[in-house]
Amino acid sequence: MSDEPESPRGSDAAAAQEPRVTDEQPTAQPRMLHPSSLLFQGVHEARRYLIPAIAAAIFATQGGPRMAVLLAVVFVIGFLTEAFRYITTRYVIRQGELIVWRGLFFRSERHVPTARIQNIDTVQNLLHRLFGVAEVRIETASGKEPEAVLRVLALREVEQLRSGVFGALSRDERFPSVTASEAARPVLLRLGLGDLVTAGLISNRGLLLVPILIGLFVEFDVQNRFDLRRLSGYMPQSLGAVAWIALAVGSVVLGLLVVRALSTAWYILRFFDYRMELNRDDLRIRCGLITRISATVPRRRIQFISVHRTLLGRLCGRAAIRIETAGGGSGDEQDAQTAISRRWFVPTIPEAQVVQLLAHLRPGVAFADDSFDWHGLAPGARRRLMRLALFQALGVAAAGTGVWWPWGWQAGLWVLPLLLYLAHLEARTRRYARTAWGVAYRSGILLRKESYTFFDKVQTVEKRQSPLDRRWHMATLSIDTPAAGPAGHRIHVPLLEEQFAEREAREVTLAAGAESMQWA
Amino acid sequence: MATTPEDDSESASNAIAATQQGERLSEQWVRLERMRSAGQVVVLAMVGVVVLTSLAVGFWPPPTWWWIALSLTILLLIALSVLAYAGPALQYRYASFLIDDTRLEIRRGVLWRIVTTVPRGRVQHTDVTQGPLERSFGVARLILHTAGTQHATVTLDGLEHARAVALRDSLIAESDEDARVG
Repeated sequence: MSDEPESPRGSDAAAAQEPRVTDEQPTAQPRMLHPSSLLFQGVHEARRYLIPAIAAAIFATQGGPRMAVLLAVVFVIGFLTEAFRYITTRYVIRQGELIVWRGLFFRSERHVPTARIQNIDTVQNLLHRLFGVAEVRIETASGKEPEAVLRVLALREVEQLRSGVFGALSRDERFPSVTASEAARPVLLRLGLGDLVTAGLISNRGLLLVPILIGLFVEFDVQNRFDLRRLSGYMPQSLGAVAWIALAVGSVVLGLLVVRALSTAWYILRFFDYRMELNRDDLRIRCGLITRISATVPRRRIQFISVHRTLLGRLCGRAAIRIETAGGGSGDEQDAQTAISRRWFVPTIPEAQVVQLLAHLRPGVAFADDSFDWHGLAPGARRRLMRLALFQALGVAAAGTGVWWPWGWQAGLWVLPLLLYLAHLEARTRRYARTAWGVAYRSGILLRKESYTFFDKVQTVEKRQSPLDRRWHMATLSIDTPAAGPAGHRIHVPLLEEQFAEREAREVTLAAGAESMQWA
Repeated sequence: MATTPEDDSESASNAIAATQQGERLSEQWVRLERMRSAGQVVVLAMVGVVVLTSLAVGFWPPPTWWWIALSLTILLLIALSVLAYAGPALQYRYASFLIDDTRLEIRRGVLWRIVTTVPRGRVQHTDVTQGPLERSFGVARLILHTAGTQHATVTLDGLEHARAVALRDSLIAESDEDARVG
């Protein structure tokens, strides 16, 4: 707690009063999208209507020339709509606002104050890269949908848009902006192929692809097409027990290898050439092998940081970092950019660099483990968890007896040591700490999660006691932040000492109330 | 900040906070809740009467299991009536709120005791709502909206209407200058 962050009060309000636009002429000319937008908008629409279109095409071939004409008309109308949309879309940054005009007959004019813009993300797939353009998404704190999608802009224009939006903002004193000489964009993290291969090998991500493989298997009717039963002809007719076991072990190992290989491939595909740069106060992430993704996260908008360490990851000295920003919802969006700027913020990082990187995410804060004043659970928590384990074992024994009379109760005996050990670990791993800037919480036995949030982001604080809690003089403390979810962890600390939870609830509320909310 | 010499004074103030009950809800609310639960019990009783009569008619003369069902239903209704009468009083006893210049703190729950605290600056906007029944009892509900996720809304039920409006006004006056986004 040696590093005190600079006083945050008032600086934001002051910045808000100043005219924000200096490097932007107030009479900037509205810009058009890149000409290739026509193509990409078409591709986007086609993808949306692909299935109806295929169905229509099938009907058309059966319905004779009249249907084909109808279909052609529909497509032409669709194309003209796209063309109109392209011609009529204009955007400009003027007097601290991003203004986007759309439409010909129904004109819409959307004003987004640049101060409210949380991220500007881009996606480039292979086709985009061919044309040197990117799809741009502009996110604010509201809702799950991006505030505006510009499909597509030339890369140079994206840069101008970014500097127009974020450049004007960067003089917030809370996060002192980097001077011009330092503005060479220091690279905070770069992941090489080795990192990604390691991450893939210790990840179970590939398991997610197995259902897809099965789906393909069923879809293409592999079984009947290739008649797998013929395979059994190649197998030896009589196998000994040893051979069967070897076969079983071999196929399990093979399965694991396939899953790991898939994981690795997935990591390489998504995060190839990953780099995180610090551009003034914005974190810029770029990655991807075929589809290049770029996400910008102003670091003052990070509300919640979560470091995840799997068991294998801990053994190999690797971690992952997720963050939450106010933009986007708590829904499990699969949108590429959202995922990059939140869930896959840092997909993998050597343990040795974690603390250093965290310090860049929130300047003026020390994240080293010994800078926290960790508090464990209540002294009785271990006993309470162990008692719970005992009851669970009794439950297993009862179920076992039901299944296999009268010897099934042994199952309870077998799981008891495991349950007790887990209870012991559970009591030992959960920790909570309050610091000068916020709170930290660690939990999880196999997958260990350690999360941090900041007083200026805290919304509500809750202390909850179940009847059992009251008997044991314990309580649960929860701290709520905006748009929680993508990090997969919450500050929800059970089994704390009653008095401690009461005091922490009050202190966190006071500290939160003392700081005005900073989320834009 | 978390440890150090302040600890003693902190635990002292903690003892004060523990005894401090804060402000009570409106006593009218107990009557309102009793009436509401009584209404629910009456509806349930009516359903029971209809089901039991039709069963009795269908299986005339009523077999033994019908009599068992009848007595169980009566027992259940008695238990629910007791709960409908005693429940609101218990809830009232354990519900309170506290407002000062930094926060609003709401305590509620009989079995599960829940203390929710909202720093004043985090209140985005507020609603005061009243149903027809609530209006006849002069009771209102204050709903605070925060930017949070789990507790995006925090409800304070059973306030006297005038008190709810006063609370709303004081919270809005505060949030005008503090909870600005941007």
